[in-house]
Amino acid sequence: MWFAERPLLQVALLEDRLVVDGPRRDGGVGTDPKPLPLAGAGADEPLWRPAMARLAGWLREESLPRARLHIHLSSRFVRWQLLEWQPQLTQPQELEAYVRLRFRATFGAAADGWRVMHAEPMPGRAVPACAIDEALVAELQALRSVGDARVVRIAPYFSAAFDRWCARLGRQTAWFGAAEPGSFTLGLLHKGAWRGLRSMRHPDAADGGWRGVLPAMQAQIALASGLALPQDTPVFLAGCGAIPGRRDAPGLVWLAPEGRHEPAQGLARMAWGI
Amino acid sequence: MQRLRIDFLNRRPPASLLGWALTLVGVASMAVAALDYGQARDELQSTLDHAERQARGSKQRARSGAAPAVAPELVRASARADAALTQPWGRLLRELETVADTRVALLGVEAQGAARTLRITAEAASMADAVDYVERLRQSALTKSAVLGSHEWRNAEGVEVIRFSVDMAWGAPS
Repeated sequence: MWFAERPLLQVALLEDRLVVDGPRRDGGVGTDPKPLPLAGAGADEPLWRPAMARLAGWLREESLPRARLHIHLSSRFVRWQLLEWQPQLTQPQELEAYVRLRFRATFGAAADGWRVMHAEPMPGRAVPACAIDEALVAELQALRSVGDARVVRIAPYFSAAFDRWCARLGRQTAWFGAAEPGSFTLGLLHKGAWRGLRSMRHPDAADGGWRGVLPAMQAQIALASGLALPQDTPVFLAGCGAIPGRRDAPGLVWLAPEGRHEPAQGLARMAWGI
Repeated sequence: MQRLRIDFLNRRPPASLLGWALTLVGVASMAVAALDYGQARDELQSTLDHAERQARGSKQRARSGAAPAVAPELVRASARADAALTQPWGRLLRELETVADTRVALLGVEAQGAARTLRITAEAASMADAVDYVERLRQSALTKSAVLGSHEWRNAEGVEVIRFSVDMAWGAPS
């Protein structure tokens, strides 16, 4: 009964919309939840401000003051970097400082106000790291003021989706992409190690907009990696933008959950982090 | 392929069943080790206490038992030894050597330290030499009395000698 009083909500925070989903009463998922449109951010406002304001208001409107929230962030709110392995860094604090320094060197003083996270380092392998506004984390945690709503997880959609599907990739050389409305994040994996990682905006806000930027991103990442990639290197894709099971390009593998407990398509996938 | 596990709230993912099992094994091992450590520490403390009691008992026995029974004899013996060692033996022996000459051979000196008496055994070529020796002893400043005790003729490798003894009382000159 305690859990019944604390519904678990899956939330996707995007620049121009907010998506909230949760388990249906029958235990399955139904139609795509209706995204809540947002007004654009003001000139001096951070991009995530409208989504946060809408989320707090929505929790009050829906009388869900004790909800638990899994937050998945659009790549528009996340800055990714792939950092080379540094064997001389032996302590976690040293690695933390190194990651922060690299973000500072790349993005300047703006990085001072960011919260930085990195994946677990593996010897000899590049470490994916990302950063979001510290103020965004603070505002998410401030949702406690809406009754007793509690954010239990804040993750980029890209990393959440990768964690969901990485077992399918194995150790083969492959691309992994996360398609979102208005942006696309693509990574290159080779023998179990990250060899490239980039995010890119695209003008087409429709679900299929990623198709226009995929070849250019592949070319850029492949060139930087120094790997001679075969033409048939598979591209595993998660997110919005395709109908599961449809084979629209050779080597393209759409990752979609089977069964009725997770949404198979649409923006709900971003909310669920799949 | 390793997961990224990015969570900006930095919460660790829930442990797997294997993780919980290993945790339980670790906790159990720690408990067993702590128990063993406690027992070993108690045992060590008990041994130390026992050794300390034994050492204390030995000291008490040494102080309270042996000292009163042994002390008088030890004191007397020590006093005798001290009295014997404090006699002017060096001066006496030098005097005996001075008195003797080539006509008398000293064979032995038996001394009673506390009583300051001597029995000197010696050999001489003739009775006159023996008597002369006794006379010279009597003239020594250390001699209180010197008496020719016994004598006998002996054949030593074909030579006739007289073996005699002298009882002598001696003391420091006043």
